[in-house]
Formats: sequence, C-alpha cells, structure tokens
Amino acid sequence: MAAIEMRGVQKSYYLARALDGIDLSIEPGKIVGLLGPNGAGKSTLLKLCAGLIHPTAGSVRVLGQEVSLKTKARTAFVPEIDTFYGWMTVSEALRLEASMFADIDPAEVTELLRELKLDARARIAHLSKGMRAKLKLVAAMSRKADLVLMDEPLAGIDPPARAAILETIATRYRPGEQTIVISTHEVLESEKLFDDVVFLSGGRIALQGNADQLRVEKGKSLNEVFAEVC
Amino acid sequence: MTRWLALIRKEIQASWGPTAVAAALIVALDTWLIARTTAWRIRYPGLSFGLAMVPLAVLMVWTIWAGYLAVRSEWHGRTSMRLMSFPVSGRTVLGSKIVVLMAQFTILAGIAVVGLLLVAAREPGIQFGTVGSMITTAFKPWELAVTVASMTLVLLAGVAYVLSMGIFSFVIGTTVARLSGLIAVVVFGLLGYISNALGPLAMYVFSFIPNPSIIIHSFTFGPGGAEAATYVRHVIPALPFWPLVLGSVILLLIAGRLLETEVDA
Amino acid sequence: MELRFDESIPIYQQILQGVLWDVAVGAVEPGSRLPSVRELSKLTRSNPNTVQRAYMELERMGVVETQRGQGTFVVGDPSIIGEVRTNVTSSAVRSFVEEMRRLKYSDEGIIELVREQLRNTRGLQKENPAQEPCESGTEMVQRTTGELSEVIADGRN
Repeated sequence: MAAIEMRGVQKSYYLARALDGIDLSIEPGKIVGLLGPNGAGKSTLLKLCAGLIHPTAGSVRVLGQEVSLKTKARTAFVPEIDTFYGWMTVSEALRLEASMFADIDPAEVTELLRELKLDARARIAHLSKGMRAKLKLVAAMSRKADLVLMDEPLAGIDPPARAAILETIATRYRPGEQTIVISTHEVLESEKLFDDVVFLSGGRIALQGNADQLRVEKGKSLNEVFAEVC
Repeated sequence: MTRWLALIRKEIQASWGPTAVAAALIVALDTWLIARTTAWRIRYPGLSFGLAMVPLAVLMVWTIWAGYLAVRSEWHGRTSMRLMSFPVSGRTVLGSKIVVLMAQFTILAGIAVVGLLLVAAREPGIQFGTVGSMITTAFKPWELAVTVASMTLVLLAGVAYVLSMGIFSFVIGTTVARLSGLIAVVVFGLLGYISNALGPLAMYVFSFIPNPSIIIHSFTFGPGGAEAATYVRHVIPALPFWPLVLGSVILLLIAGRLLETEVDA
Repeated sequence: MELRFDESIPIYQQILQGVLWDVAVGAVEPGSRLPSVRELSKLTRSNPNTVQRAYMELERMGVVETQRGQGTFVVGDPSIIGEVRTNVTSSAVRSFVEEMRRLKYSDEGIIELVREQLRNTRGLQKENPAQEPCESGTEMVQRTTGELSEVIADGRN
C-alpha cells in the first residue's frame, strides 16, 4: 500500500498549470524529499494529499484510499504559512489540535514544548517567526500521524531554529510506520534526512529515486543534482 | 469533546469579547434612557422608546454582514488552511459558526428587547396605552404566548437565513481568485432577488404542513367606543418559517461542500 | 562521534566509516555501547533509517552486536578489533599513497615527506592517543589533504 499514489494528476488554476501529468508512488515508512524551485508545484502537490484542494484531472490516493475525512485524521499537514489563531495561546492552540486529532500524545506535547523552548502560555501573535515554525512542528510531531506533509519547514528560519527543527524531525520520526514528505528548495541542510527524493520542476517530475543511490550514480550531493536537474 | 463542540468553543472564544462589549453598551443605553424617560415623556413623547429601538435596528443591519465576516475572518487570518486540514466537513465548520452567531444575536436581541420593554413601561403614551389595553382585553395569555413565540421563531429563521446568505456569498467569492469581494456582493444581491421571487411559491408549498401560528384579533368598534369593540380571532400561519429554515440549510450545505473542494488561503 | 559529512558520498557509508574509524583509533572501547539509532540520527541530523542501515551492516561485518532493548555494542573480541584497525589503516595508507602518486611523487619522495612530517610533529605527539577525543576518518582525510596541499605549495615557493 503506497503512502501516496498519484496517477495522471493535473492541477490547473484558470490558465496556469501548477501540476502537469504527475505519476507518483511514495513508499510508506520513509522520509521523502520533495525538491524543486519556487513555483514547481510542491505546495500544490502536498495540498492535494492533504485534501485541501482537488485535482483537475487524475486521481490522488493517500494511505491506500481516496482523500477523505478519514485520511485527514491520519495526516498531519504543516503549511508554509502561519495558520494558527493569533489570539490563542500556545496551549489553547494545541488543545484545539488535540480535540481534532485523537492521536495526539499530551506527554509528547509537553516534552516537545520543553525541548523547543516554547512557552505554553505565550500568545501566538507575540511569537517570533522561528517560534511559530517550531509550534507547527510540535502540532504535527506530537501526533502519531501515518503521513506527515511538511511544506518548506525551514524557509526563512534562522540557523539555530533550523537545527532544532531538523533534530526534532530526526528524533520524532517513527521509521517504517510513518511517512514524512518534506518539500523544500533549500536542499543543503536537509538532504541527510531523506530516504528517497522526488525532484519537481515546472509541474513535472524531473527525477526521483533513493537518495544514497543517486549520490552513487551521480557522484554528487543532492544539492548539486538539484542544480543540474531543476 | 467532539470536534463540532470544539469548533463551537473556538468560535465562542473568538467572539465573546465583542459580544460582552455590545451587551454592555445596550444595557448602558437602556439604563440611560430609562432615566431620561420621565424627563422626556412630556416634551418628547416616544423619543426614548424610539431610541431604545436603535440597538435592534443595528442588530438587523449586523445580520447582513455578520455571516460574511465570520467566514472571512478565517481567510483574513490565514487560518482556513488549518481549519480545513482538520478531519471535519465543511458543513460542520459553517454549522459551528452559525450556531454561535445565532446565540450572539439572541443574547443581544434579548437584552435589547428587555430594555425596550422597560423603557416602554415608563412611557405610557396615549396610543400605546390604548393598544396595550386592547391587547390585554382581546388576547388570552396563551394566545399572546403563542403569537410571541411564533413571531420569535420567524424572526430567528429570518436571521439564520440572512446569515446563511452572507456565509454562502463569501464562500462563492473564495472560488474565484480575483474580485472575490465583488462577487460575494453580487451573489448576496442575487440571493435576495431570488428569495423574493421564489418566496411566495415557497410559502404556498409549505402552507400544507404545520406552521407556527400567529393569533391576531381583528376588531370593529361598536357604538360604545373602544371598550365596546367586538373582536374576531384569526389564526395565521407564519408561512415564511419553513422556507427560511430550509433555505438556510440548503445554503449552508452547498457552501460547506464548496469549502471542502478548494481552500487556498 | 562528531561527523562532518560530504553530501556527495552516500550518507550510510560515511556513518559506517565513522564508526569503523572510532573503533580503529580506540575512541570507542571494545564492549562499549554505541549511540542509539535515534541519538546518532539526532546528532548527525540524518535519517534514522540510514543510521539503522549502517548499524546493520556493521553487525553483518561482525564489528558490532545488537542486544534487544539494550542497544548496539562494539564486540569485545580483540581479534575483530584488530582486523578493523588493519582495514582502516590500510585504507588510509592506500588513499594517501594514491594521492601522493597522483601528485607525481616517487616512492623515495613519499617516504621522505612522511619522515619530515614525523620529525616536525614529534613534540606534539600525545602520550595516550587512544584516550583523547579523535577526529573522524572524514576529518582526517580533509585535514591531511589540506596539509599536503600546503606542503606542496610551500615546496613550490
């Protein structure tokens, strides 16, 4: 059962084609890098899996079924923009998440807040960008979601926060049980995390494969492959 | 806590502040008016009563915007993406919003009406007195209760419908990328037009099922003046009730479905 | 173990080499416990599956053994440790010699360079090298390559 399966997926916005004929199969239990330049269609692809948008053509199957409320319950979507209610405190926001998702572990929440140094009583509107990025991560990684979709989790974040985010992903990831798809256009720091990678360019898949295997085949880092392919 | 209740709690958390402020303002206004009535009732009869109606008028205007603004806040704050990545249907989300909006309206309208009655009690203008005594003579208590209840139901159904129109218009607006505000206004206007046009037909269709009833008495004055009037009782079905309720439900279901198909903050 | 990575070489391989180097230089004692998969993936910010793969390969090679619930341990058998040391050493020597030959040095030239380096660094030799924190294989390669380039550049001037 593939974690994500797309057949002939197209997504158009009026005249613009965000995704043009995507055939993709992502194996479960791996960390997959979705790499591509801005505008390649990475966000669109993730939103299709999260059920926020629907394809213009083709089919999207997630966790072996059509995207539905059932798959949403097992999916954690970490968007690029900040989507929390600014008037809530950190703990209120996480309490809302807990009421929506049965698989949240309160002990993990407390532990992650402590590790990432987030104050539960802080108002979200007062948090810095880096702290809000960490909060997004807490909401996603304190769950036992079968599929985690991260859209540019490192974009615009300072290096210490980035390191914290990468470490949190590395430690909270449940190998074999959980599939994480991370989209990014900055490959340098994150490439050691990926089992498999999919290169997306101009709405199409340019290259995909196992990360270490590609390193052997090409004799380059993924960052260098990215520059070549996209 | 179920997801629907959690959404309702979120809506309450977001809106109880402004509601409390509005309630305080109404209470303050009515208190002031009650105090001023005794001074005004000779020189400006009916003034304080009229002014006490202002909060109700404001509330009516509010219903036009409130539905639209309630959903728009999710887009404005970019929270719509998080909301729709929750495992809840679009109609659950909108349902939670309209429930809290109706509660807001009911609370504020209730306070305003109580204030209005208190002001009215202090201001026995001649016309009001005559009408008042005629009402108390003609209506039995249960008839009055039924009429008030039915009128309240129709009013609430109407408020729900206008709120749904606002919600629906906004959601339609989100499906287009540009000019979504303009589209929403156009849709709202169209809905008003269609409601008006289909209204009589809808009311006819629903006249065949039980409706809340309004009891009125028509009267003719006898030779002895107001005291000797004869009253005839009429029971009128409040026909707009079911069409308004059904219309609200249909609009919300469609809007909910649309919400699920496309969320791009 | 602190590894600096070259992302053009398979990560799992570098983790593997890193552990072998640590064993060879004695930075991890025979019988001692290696960092858990989770700890090492956090430290290196790499995929736990990759670390797991490296550990499994090491177990297959007989260098480590995993005890369920307890962790992964370096084997206590001194002959295996000796073998690892031999392999790592010959691999390092091989790379060095290849590199020097590519730089067009004769055999005598290479030996003389090594002698010179040993002379210059004699006073800096530590008493118990096994107990000091050691650099990893990758670091050593990077460092010696850098130093050799300096030597060559100096030699040219």
